[in-house]
Amino acid sequence: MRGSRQWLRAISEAYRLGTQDPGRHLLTILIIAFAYIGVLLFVVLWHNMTMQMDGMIDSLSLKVVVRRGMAGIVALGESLRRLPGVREATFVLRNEDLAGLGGVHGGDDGSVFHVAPLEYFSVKTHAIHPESLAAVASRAHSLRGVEDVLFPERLAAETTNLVWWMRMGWASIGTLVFLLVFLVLCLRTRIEVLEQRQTIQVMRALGASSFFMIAPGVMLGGIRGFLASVAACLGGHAAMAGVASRIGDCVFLSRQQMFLCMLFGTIICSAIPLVAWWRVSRERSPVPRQLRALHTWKR
Amino acid sequence: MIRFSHVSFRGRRSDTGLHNISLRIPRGELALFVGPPGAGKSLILKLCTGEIGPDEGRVFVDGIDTTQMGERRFRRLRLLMGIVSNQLPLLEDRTVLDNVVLSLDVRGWPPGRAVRSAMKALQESGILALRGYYPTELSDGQRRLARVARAIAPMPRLLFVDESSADDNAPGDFLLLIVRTMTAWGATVLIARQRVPDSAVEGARVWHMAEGQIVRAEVIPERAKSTPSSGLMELLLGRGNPP
Repeated sequence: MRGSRQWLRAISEAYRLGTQDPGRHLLTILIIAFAYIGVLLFVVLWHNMTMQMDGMIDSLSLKVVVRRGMAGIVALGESLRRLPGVREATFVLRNEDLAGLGGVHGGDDGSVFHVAPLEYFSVKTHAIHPESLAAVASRAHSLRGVEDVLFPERLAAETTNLVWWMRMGWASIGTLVFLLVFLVLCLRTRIEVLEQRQTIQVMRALGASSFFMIAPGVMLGGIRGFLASVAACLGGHAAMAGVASRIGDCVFLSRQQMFLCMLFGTIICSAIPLVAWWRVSRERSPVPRQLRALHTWKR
Repeated sequence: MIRFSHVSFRGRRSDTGLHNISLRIPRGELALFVGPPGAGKSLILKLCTGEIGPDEGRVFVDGIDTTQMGERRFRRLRLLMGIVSNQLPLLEDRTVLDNVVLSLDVRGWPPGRAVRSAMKALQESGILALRGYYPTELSDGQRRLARVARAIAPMPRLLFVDESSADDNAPGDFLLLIVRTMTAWGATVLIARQRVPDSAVEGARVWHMAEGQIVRAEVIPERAKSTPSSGLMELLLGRGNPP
C-alpha cells in the first residue's frame, strides 16, 4: 500500500514538474533531440560510407591470365583460392575484356577475333593496401599455368589513399560530434544539479528517502529522453531521406534499431537526474561547494 | 534526549568552532543558545541534525550516538526532527501549503491526512490565508512563519530553530508559537539566538556561548502558575503586551 502510494506520489510529482514550465522542458527535449540526431546521422552515414568504401576496394581485383590452351583450369582455380589473402577467384572468358588487356581489340563490328580470347581468373582479395595486393599477385604469379598477373597498381594506391583520408575525416567529425553531445549532456546535468540542489537538500533535511527525492526527476528525465529520441529518430529519418534522394541508395535505421535508440535515449536521460542527485547527496553542507571555495579564496 | 560529550569541532575558519562542549538537555525542555555571531550556536544545532559531524567527542540524540551513524540511519532519525533555519528555505516552486505538505509526504503520511495536518499547522502559525501563495509572494516574517509551520506540522519530538541571523526585533509570535508547540506535545526545543528574548521563555534553560565555548548556563525562572498560558494567549490574540 505504502509502496504504491510512493509510486503514485512520484508520478504526480513528475507531472507537476513537467507541467510547471513546459517551455523549458520543450527546449531541453529539442536540445537533446538535436544532439541525438547528430549522433544517429553520424552513425548511419558512417555505416553507408563504409559500405561504399568496401565496394570500392572490392572492385580492385587481380586478373590472373591463364596460359593459352592450358589444361587443369579447375585445379588452378583451387590453388588460387587457397592462396593467403584471396577471398574469391572466378574464371572469366569474355570478349570485351580483351580491350583492357594488352591493346588487343576487335569484334566491335562483328568481325572474327584476330587472337583467341584471353582466359583469366578474376581474383578478389582481402587486401586493402597496394603492397598486400602486390604480394598476392606475386604469389599467384608463381603458380603453374599462370601467364601474367595484372592489377591496377596506381588505382589501388589512389583508392586506398582516398579511403584512408575519408576514414580519418569521418573519425574526426565523429569525435567532434560525440564530444559535442557529451558536452551537451554534461551541461544539462550541471543545470539539473544546480536546479535540484536546493530541493534535494531541503528534502534531505526533512528526512526524505532517496526514492522520494530522485524518482520524480528520473521519471521526468525518462519521458523527456523518450520524446527526444522519438523526435531524433523521425528527424534523422527525414534527413536521411533527403540524403538518399541525392546520392541514391542509403540505409537508415531499421525498426528494431530505432526502438533500441529510443530505449537508449530514455535510459541516458533518466540517468541525468540520478547523477545530479548523487552529486548533491555527497555534499554535507547546504552551502554550495563553489560558494565555499569563493569564501576561502576571499580570505 | 540530547547529550554532548566533550565535543569539539574545528571549522574551515580559525575563528569559528566548538571546544570541548559537554551538555545535557532532557526531554521536553526548551533550550536557548545565545551569544554573538561566531559563538558556535548554530554549530550545536547542526551537530544535532547531522549536518556536520564532530571532530572529537560524541553527540547523542534520543539516546543514540549519532557520530557512529550512517546517512541512511540518520535519515530515519531526521524524521523525528523539525528544523527551522534560514539555510533550509521554502521551495519556491511550491505554494506554502505544498511546502508544509512536503514535510508530511516524506514521512509517508496519506495525502488527505497530510493536507489536514498542514492546514492545522498553518492555522496555528496564523498564515492559513496565505496557503495558496508562493514563497516569493510573502514577506520575510510570513516566510519565517511558513518555515515554522513546515517544521511543526509532523509534530516532531525535536525542534531545532536556528534564529542566529534573524532580526531580534521580529514579532514575538514566532517564539510564542514554538513555545506553545513544545508545551502541546512535550517536544524538546533548541533555539539559537543572539540574545535572550524578552518574553515567553519562562522555565527555559539558557546556554550563553562565546568563541565556541559555553560561558554560562542559567534557567529563567517561571512566573506565578495561576494562569500559566493566559499571558501567551493574550499575546497571540494581540491583546496583551510582552512582559
